[in-house]
Amino acid sequence: MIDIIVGVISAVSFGILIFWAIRPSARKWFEFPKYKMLEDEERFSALDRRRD
Amino acid sequence: MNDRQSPVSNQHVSYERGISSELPRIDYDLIRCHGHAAVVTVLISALLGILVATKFNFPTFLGGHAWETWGRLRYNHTQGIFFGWLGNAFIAFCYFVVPRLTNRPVTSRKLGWAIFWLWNFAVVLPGWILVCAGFSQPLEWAEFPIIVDVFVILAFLLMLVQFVKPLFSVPAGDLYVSGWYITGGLVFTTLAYPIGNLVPEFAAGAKGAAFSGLWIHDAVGLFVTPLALAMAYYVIPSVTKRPIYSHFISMMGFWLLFFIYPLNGTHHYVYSAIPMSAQRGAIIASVYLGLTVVLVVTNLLLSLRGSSDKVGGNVPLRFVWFGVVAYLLVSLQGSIQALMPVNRFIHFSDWVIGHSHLAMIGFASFIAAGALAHVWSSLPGVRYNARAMNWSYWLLAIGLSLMVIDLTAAGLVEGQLWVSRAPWIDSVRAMYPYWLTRVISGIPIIAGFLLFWTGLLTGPRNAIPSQSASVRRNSERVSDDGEKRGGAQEIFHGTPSILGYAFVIAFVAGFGFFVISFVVLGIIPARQLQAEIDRTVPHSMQPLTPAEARGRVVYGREGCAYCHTEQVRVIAADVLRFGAPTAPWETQYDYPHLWGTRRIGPDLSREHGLRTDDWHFAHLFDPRSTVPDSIMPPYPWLFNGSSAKPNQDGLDLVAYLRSLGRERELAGDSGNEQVDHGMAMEMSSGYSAHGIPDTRPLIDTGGINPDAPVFKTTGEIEATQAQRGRDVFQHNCSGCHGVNADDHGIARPGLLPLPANLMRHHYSDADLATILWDGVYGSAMPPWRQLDKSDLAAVTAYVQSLQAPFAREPMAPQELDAASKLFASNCVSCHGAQGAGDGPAAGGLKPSPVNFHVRQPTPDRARSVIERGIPGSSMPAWKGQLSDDDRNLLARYVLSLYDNGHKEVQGQ
Repeated sequence: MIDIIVGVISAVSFGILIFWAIRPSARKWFEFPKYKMLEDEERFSALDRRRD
Repeated sequence: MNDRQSPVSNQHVSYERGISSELPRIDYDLIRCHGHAAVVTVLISALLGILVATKFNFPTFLGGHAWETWGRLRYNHTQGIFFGWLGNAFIAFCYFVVPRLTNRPVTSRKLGWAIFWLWNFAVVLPGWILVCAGFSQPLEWAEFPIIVDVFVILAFLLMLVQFVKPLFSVPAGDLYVSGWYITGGLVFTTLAYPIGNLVPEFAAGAKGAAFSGLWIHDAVGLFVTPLALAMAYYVIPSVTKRPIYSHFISMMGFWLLFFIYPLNGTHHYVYSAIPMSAQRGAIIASVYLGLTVVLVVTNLLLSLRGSSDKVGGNVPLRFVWFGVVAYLLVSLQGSIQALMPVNRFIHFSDWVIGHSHLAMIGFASFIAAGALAHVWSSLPGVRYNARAMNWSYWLLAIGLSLMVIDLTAAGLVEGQLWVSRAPWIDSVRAMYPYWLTRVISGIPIIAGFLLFWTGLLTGPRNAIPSQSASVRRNSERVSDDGEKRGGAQEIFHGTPSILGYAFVIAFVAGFGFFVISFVVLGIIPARQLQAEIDRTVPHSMQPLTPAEARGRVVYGREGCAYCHTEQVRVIAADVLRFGAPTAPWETQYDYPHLWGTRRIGPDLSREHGLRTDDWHFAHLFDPRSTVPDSIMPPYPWLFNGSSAKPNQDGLDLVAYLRSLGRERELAGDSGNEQVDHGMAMEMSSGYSAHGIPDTRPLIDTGGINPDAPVFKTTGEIEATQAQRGRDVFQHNCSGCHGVNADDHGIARPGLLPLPANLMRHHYSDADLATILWDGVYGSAMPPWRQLDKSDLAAVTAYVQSLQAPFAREPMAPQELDAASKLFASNCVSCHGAQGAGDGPAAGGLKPSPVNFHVRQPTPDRARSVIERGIPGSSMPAWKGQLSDDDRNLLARYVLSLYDNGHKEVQGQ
């Protein structure tokens, strides 16, 4: 059981990491939400400032 | 921006025209109410913490009322932090962030108020009241009674509808990491909470502990941690106006945390009766967790690169930064302390308390405070008071640092004393300065929270300076990346839609990983335990009697399990001190288990036969009467005004204490099947505190245990040794025997037979050695094997210095003949023909009859005992049956028998 746990964690982690590393387009896809979050946050912040 | 982003629907409430027309409603009133509720409850919880800590140094602080006893306040302290402070802060944050992450309002404003009232007035407040009233569950992080658990589960279900439903509508590829953590945390906790709180009520002992261990860790790892990380991941970019370093790494961290965290649970029970495979799995998972946290924290700290000025100048961000650093420290510490060589040393000690405070204050509370202050700066017309917040930060940081350093050092000292053969009470004495320091460290912490609230209440109602320039720059970056992402989108164009939405997070992270941990660390170990129980349980095993079962409820209600464990771990230090390791079959009727996670007092699982009921009554009524340096709180509500008058609860509790380890005792060798040979060797070394001699009955040897070390053989009394013995005596014996050794200790009223008046006897070396080594069976005198032999020798010297032996008084032949006949016709059945305490009836008497060859009463004492007997023993009063002359003659006769044990020694 322990071996299975360790194996699954290692395989999944390194698999995704390698995929991310060799595919720049995949990196961009994964990184998109952080920019969207900032944009949305700014829209809400702007509203907050206007209400003040 | 691509076409997968959620369009803003018409149902969204608009506050204003223009930019606001696209934005969903945010329930600021709910944020305010949950925010204030969080701070009020953290102040109350911190105050409870200080009271609890103070009682370590001043056990009778606040008096002896049931509602404010240590155990009940301790329950409320942690539950208040968990539900009241962090729960409310997380909910407030969710109202702030979910609309921002989803472009949708939360499900329902009315539902929001229902959750608020439910959380605070059906969970927190009733929970506190019920615990103080004596209704609780003695399980770590699950102390509120089961009726409250029903409302907790209901609240979590409503939170799923309120917060997770909007998150479900967002494509997974667009959802920011905070939304992933909120979704996973709420779904997982909704499933884990009933398992951790209810299963131990139905799965007994070790099996229940396996599930309980899951919840202990899940409470922190799958509720507090995800929500706190959701806050950190949101506040950092919001304040710095820069995106986090890597959203990909944050995703890696998310999936690894949700996969690995649930597998850590059993590391709370390393070296326990839970199958070693589960323990080993939890330890490996703990190491992996540390590595994962390094990944997460690296990502968060890299997100702050180039923003040192903002960390210094923006107090909410500084709170979050501190929390992130503490998260790294506490996680690495957790990984290390799960390792067996470390765990065997520091587990149950104050080190763990320092660890938990570093997690709940240093990590979670700092981030929650930072996020709450950040949210506050967005509330209409409200800002936090930066000056008060700044003071709050430093007070909390100083108080927490002092507390963690102090408790960590305390744990190391405790661990060292526990692996030594020092008496248990030495570890308690050694903690006094550390515990006092903890009280002191709590003052800046509660002051910090007070100033935090002040900061929320007294902020200026003005807008923060515009940062439109920086925002504009970042917006441009967003546009650029959004366009670039269009190419990436094509890669995933063929992704099935069912996998593209956030409920995948809920089902995989929240549900799937919960099921894996439930099976791996719960179901499988429970099945293995049941198989082992079926194989090893002795036929003599019996469940508790009704009185013992009621006493078990009292034991749990008063929080006894939070100072006394009921599990002897399979390590030498435990076995040598307490006895045989706890076997799974011993716990098969424990609903719920009372294993405990902390030792302030000694383990009680081998209490059977160790002390008398009288001793327990005296100890419960006034702990310092029997153990002068004890810090145990008194329990006068278990008595009717005196230790000699226990009420039904007191009787039941002592009945339960008396039952602990009884089945193991009755099982004899057949109960040791799970103990390997090496441990059996350690068990047989004879240094267990358990005093019941396992060799031949003492009655066969005139009350002398030939295996008891003779502490002093020269017969000379050295003044320095006796003086040191007096100090040892005052610390350990004066509660019963009195500071002057004249049996006027404060425990006296509740003890029968009365403690010996040491001024009125002379004891031989062999007699004292036996008494100190084995205790006096049938009296409240316990064995003192945990004392160092040099201390026992010093006590022997001191006791012997109190009363020198009397010279034999010559008796005329006629007197001797008459006395012999009197003795033979009245005393022989108990005291034996030679007065050696070995008469035919002696075997059934407790305490055993006196062996006059090794113990010599003073003439007054001898006459008094013959005249009045010894209440609580089998010695009757002879007044009215023998004349004054006969009684005097007998007194002179028994005095003349004393020979310092030479006869006995020769006989052996």
